[in-house]
Amino acid sequence: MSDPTLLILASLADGEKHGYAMVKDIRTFAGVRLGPGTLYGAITRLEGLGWIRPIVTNDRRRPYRLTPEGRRHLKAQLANLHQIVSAARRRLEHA
Amino acid sequence: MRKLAQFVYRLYPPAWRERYGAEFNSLLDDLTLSWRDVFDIFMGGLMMRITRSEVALITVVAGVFGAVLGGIVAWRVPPQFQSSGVIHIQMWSPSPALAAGAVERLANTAFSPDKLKPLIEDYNLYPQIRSKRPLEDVIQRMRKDIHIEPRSGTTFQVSFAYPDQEKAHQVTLKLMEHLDEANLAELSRTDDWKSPDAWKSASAERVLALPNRLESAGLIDVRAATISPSPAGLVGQRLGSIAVSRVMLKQLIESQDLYREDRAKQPMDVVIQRMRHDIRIEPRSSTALQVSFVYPDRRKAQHVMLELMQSLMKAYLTERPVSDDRNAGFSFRITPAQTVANLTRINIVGVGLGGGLLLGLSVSVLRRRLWHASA
Repeated sequence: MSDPTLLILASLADGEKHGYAMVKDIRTFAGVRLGPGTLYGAITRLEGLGWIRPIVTNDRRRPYRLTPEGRRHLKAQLANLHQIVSAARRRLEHA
Repeated sequence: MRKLAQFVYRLYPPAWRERYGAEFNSLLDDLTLSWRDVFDIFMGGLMMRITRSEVALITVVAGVFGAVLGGIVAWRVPPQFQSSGVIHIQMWSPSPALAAGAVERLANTAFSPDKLKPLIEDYNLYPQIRSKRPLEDVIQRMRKDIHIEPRSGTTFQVSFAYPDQEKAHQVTLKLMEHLDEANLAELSRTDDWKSPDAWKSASAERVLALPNRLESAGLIDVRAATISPSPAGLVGQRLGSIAVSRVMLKQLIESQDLYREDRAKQPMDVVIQRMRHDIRIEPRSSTALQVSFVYPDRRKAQHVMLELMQSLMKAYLTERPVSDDRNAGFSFRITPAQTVANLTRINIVGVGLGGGLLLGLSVSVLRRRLWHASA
């Protein structure tokens, strides 16, 4: 699983994070290191879709958090993934 | 690496940098950057440019990029010049003297003893003379009664005088038929495109001449033959193979020092074959033939083209029949070397520009889809 947008949504699921924190978090839970261009490309798209929102701060590191719509989308994506994973697992067991 | 990343970061659109610049640079400060990160920033900036720019801007930028790329490629490709000339094949109406000569020539065939003898027998002509004199004398007499006289310019009157009005008329019609047959036979012996003369016969008309002798006459016009198919196509097809001979091309290659690199690597026959590909002889219209030669050297391209045109003319003069008057209906007017253009480089830049514009337009149209697909 290396879809940057899903990884960012998953990273923000437990609270707000800035860019560097997301990179570290994603590397920890998914084993994927997102490059700066990939990370901010995905952040730009997700903000444009209204699924994440920046938090106003004086720090250069601007944190982001999930919007309710982004949370709904993440849940839908995870449910879909869960269905795929379950189906694949069942098939492997019966193979 | 940090400085390089900062440099590549400039690829992002200004509006994006205004919004995300501070936090993005903060991230760059926090990360230990590698070549992979620099490439990632480059690709991110490129995608941002594509997905955030306007249609026209993307199209123009891609078009300019394609044209520049085409220009670079074109600069590395040897220049190609095409030298072309046009041979116009013209026809004119034969002169009265020429027409008279042609009529006399055909009359000798049409009114030969072999042709007149059946007429004398079939129509029972000159019965009294035939009973006393040999047939040869009767034929000579009949020939005296046949007259061919100019009426105006290239129109001639063919007449036959005989005491019987009906027989005079019928024999005149037969004489006209014989002339037509002789004319067709001559046209079939020679090639159409070389034979300017053709007969156009008018129907025979009865003319009362003397009280005891009736004369019937028909009119014929000498005109330029109707050419089918087009003379230019036929000249190009027939003379091209003769004029562009192996010997001639070999001489040109050696005298003009053509295809030097090819000659160093390949046998002469292959080089000659290559040269044939660079020569084009094709009809421009029904009466115009274009001769062109493509070569990297402008002066040599023009020289070879002129040589080819001269060779075509020589081939024509060699090929035509000995009697000049048959071919006097044709003339050649040459428009030499009007176009000398550098084709290849212009084409390559054009392809680059066109390809770039097309790519830019396609990307512009698809960018929204790309944007959403990646989200």
